[in-house]
Amino acid sequence: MKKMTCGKEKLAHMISILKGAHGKPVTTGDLMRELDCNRNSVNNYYKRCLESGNNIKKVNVGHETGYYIEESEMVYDPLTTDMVYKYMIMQNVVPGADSIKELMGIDIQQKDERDRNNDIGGIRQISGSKYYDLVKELIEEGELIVYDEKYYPARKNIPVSWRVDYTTAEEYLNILTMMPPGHHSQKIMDSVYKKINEIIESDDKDFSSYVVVGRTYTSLNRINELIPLLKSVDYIKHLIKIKYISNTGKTSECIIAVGLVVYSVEKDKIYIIGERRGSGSDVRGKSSNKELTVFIDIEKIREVKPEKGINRSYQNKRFNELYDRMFSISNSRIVEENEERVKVKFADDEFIKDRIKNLCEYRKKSGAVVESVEDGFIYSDMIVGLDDFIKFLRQFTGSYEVLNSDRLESKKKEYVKNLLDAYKEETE
Amino acid sequence: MNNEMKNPYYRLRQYYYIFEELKLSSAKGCESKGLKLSELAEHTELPIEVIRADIACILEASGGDFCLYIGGKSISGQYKHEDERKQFRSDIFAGIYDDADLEWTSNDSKVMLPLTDEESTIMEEVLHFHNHPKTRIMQPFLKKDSYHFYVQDEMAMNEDLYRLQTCIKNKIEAKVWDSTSGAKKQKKIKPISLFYDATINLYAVVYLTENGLSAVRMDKIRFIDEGKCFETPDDIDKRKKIIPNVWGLDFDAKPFNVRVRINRTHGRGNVEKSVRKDLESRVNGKLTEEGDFLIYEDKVYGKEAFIRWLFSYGKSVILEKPVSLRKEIISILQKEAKKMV
Repeated sequence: MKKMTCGKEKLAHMISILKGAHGKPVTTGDLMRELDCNRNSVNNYYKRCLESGNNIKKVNVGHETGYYIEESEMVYDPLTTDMVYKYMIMQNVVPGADSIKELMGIDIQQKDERDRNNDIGGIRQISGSKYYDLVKELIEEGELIVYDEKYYPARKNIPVSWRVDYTTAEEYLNILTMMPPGHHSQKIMDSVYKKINEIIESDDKDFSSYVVVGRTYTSLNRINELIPLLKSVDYIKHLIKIKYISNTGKTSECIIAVGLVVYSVEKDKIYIIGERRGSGSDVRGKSSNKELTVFIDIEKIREVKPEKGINRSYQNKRFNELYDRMFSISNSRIVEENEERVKVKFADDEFIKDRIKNLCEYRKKSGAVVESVEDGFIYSDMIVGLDDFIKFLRQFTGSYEVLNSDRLESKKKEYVKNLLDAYKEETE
Repeated sequence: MNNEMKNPYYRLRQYYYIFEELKLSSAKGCESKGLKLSELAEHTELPIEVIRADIACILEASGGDFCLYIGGKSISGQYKHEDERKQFRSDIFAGIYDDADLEWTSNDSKVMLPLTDEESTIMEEVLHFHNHPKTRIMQPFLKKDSYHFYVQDEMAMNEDLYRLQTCIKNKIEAKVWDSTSGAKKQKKIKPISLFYDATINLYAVVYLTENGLSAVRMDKIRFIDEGKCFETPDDIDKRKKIIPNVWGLDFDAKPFNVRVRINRTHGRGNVEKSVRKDLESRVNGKLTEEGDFLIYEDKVYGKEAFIRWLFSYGKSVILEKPVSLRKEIISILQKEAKKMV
C-alpha cells in the first residue's frame, strides 16, 4: 500500500474510515494505527474535519475516545490541492483534445523552462514530474483510461466539463443544427444546443427543411431526471433497494447490484439490468447466480434507496458480454444459458442487404458476420434473446430462412402459423 | 441539497462554472467583479465551512488565477513560508475573509460547456468518440440499437445535410454521387426537402422529378457541388403533401388505400402504444378506436416497406384492405408455411 505522507491525505483517509464504519465509533487507537500517526495528530485531524464542514462526533468508548459520523449526516469529502490539480488535468482530456501524452510533453517542457505565462489548464504550481505523477495516479485510480495511445476520461469521481474554443463550439453547433427533429436523442441535443448557443449566440435551430416520419421517441427525454435519481443512491458503487411495479402489476421490492443501465431505442425504454441479492448474509456483493439477473423498466420504479454492500457488478465482464450479445432488451429474464448461435440466409435484396450489413457492423463485438453466397447472403451471430431476434426477423418474412437454429426455426414456424391463421380467419 | 456535492470534484466543477458565468457576463458588459465567500455559500447551498476549506485549497493550487479582494488588498493565497500559509488558512477558517470578493482572473480563451454526464454521453456518441468497450464506463447509460441504420460517418453526412439544406433554402441544384443499386453515378437533383425516418434512423433527400417527387438515401450519396438555380413548380405544395404517406422512400410507387386493424388488448396494451408512436407522423392518415381495436386508414405509397411494418407486429396488426394486398400477404405466408413443413 502507498504510504500516506501528506496531512490532507490522512485527513481524507480518516473521513473515509469513519464513513466506512457506518455510524459506529472508531477509537483513537484504531485511527492512530490506520493513519500511522500519534494521538495529537488524530485530534488535529478531528478539528480539521470540523473546520471543513463535516459533523464528526466524539464519544467515550471504554477508556478511549471514539469518533463517528452519523449516517444521516451529509459528509463532505475534503478537497486537497492535488485534487484541484487532478481536476484541472482532467478538464484538458475533453473528447476532441489531443492525447494527454502530447499534452504532457508540452507541459513538462514549459515547467522545466519555468515558463509561468503559458500554463496549460491553469496549472502553474507544479513541476513536470509532479504533473506526470498525477497523471499516473489518475490512471491507477481508473479516472483515465488508456486506449489506442489515447487517453479517455472515465468520469468515475471526477466530472469532466467540456472546455472548447469558439471555433469548436461553432462546429458542434453546426452538427447539432442538422440533427433531425424526430431523432431519439433530440431533446438532449436541443438542451446541448441551447447551452452552446448561450456562449456563441447563433440563430435558433431551423427544422423547416425536414420532414420526419416513423416512430416518436420520448423516453430518453427523461434521462436527465432518472440518472441523477440513481446517482443519489450511488448505484455504481453500492447495492440499492428498488420498489417497482412488476409485469403482473404488483408492487415488488428487491435489492440489486446494478450491472448496466441501458436505453433500448427500439422499445424506447430505459432499463436497469442487475443481479438480485438476498436481504441478509449474501448482501456482500459476491458474484451471484446467473438466474438472478433482473431487468427493470426504469419507468416502473417507485422508490430507490441505498443499501449496505458494495456493488461489484457494474459494467463488469459478465454484464459487458451480456450487453454485447443481447439483441435488444427482453422483459423476461435473459440469462447466458439462452445464448444461441444463429445462421440466417437472406434473399438478395439491396435494402435488406444494407440493413443486415449495418446490423453486422453494429454487432461486431458479439462476433456477427455476413457472408455473400450465390443467391443471397448469410448472417451469423451469437445472440442472447432469441425472442427479440425473431421480432426483428418478422419484417423480412418471405425473404429469409433459418439455417441452423432449431429454436429459432420453431419460433418462426409459430409466428407464420399464427399470422396465417389470423388472416384466414378474417377471410372466412 | 444535491448529494453530488459530497464529492469535492463536483464542488470544484460548480465553483468553476459559477466563475465562468461571471466571466461571460462580465465580457458581455454586465457588472460583475466577483463573489463573496458568503454569497458563494448561498449560491451553492453549501455550509460556509465547506466553502472556506475548499477556497483555501483552490487559492493555493490555482497559482494566482483566483484572488481574494478585501479593503483594496489582494490575497492570492500564495505563500513561500509555511507559517504564513498556516496563518492564512487559520484566518480563512475563522471567517475573516467571508466578505472578501473572490475573483477569477484566468485568461484561458476556452469556455466551459456545462453538460451533464447524460448530455456528454449523447454528444460523444454524435461525435463518434466511443469505439471500444473500455470507454463504456465513461457513459452513465448505454444504448441498445440493433433496429437502426448505423450511420458510419455522421460528421461527413452532417456536412452533406448542411449543404443540401442550403440548396433547399436557396432553390439551387445539387450535384451528387449516387451509389444506389451499386454503380456510382453523378447526377443533378433539385432538392426540396430533407427526410428522416426515425424508426430506422434513415436519412434521405427528397427532390423534384418531372411530374412528382423522388428520394435518395443519404448513405448512398455524396454531395459534390452546387448547380444552378431552379424554379419550383406551381404544384409543389400538392406534391409535398404526399410525403407523410410514403413508406420506404418509394415515391414513384402507385398508391393504395389501406385499412388496418390493430388489436389493443395484445401485449398488455404495449402494441397499441407502439403503433400509435409509429403512426404519429403519418399525419394524413386516420386512427380511430373501435372497441378492442384501433383502425388505421390511409393512402400508402410503398408496398414493400408497408408489408415489412405489418409483419413486424405479427397477428396484432392485420391488414383488412385492399383485398389484393391481403391476398399477397397470405400468399407469402403460405409459401413460408410450405417451406417449413
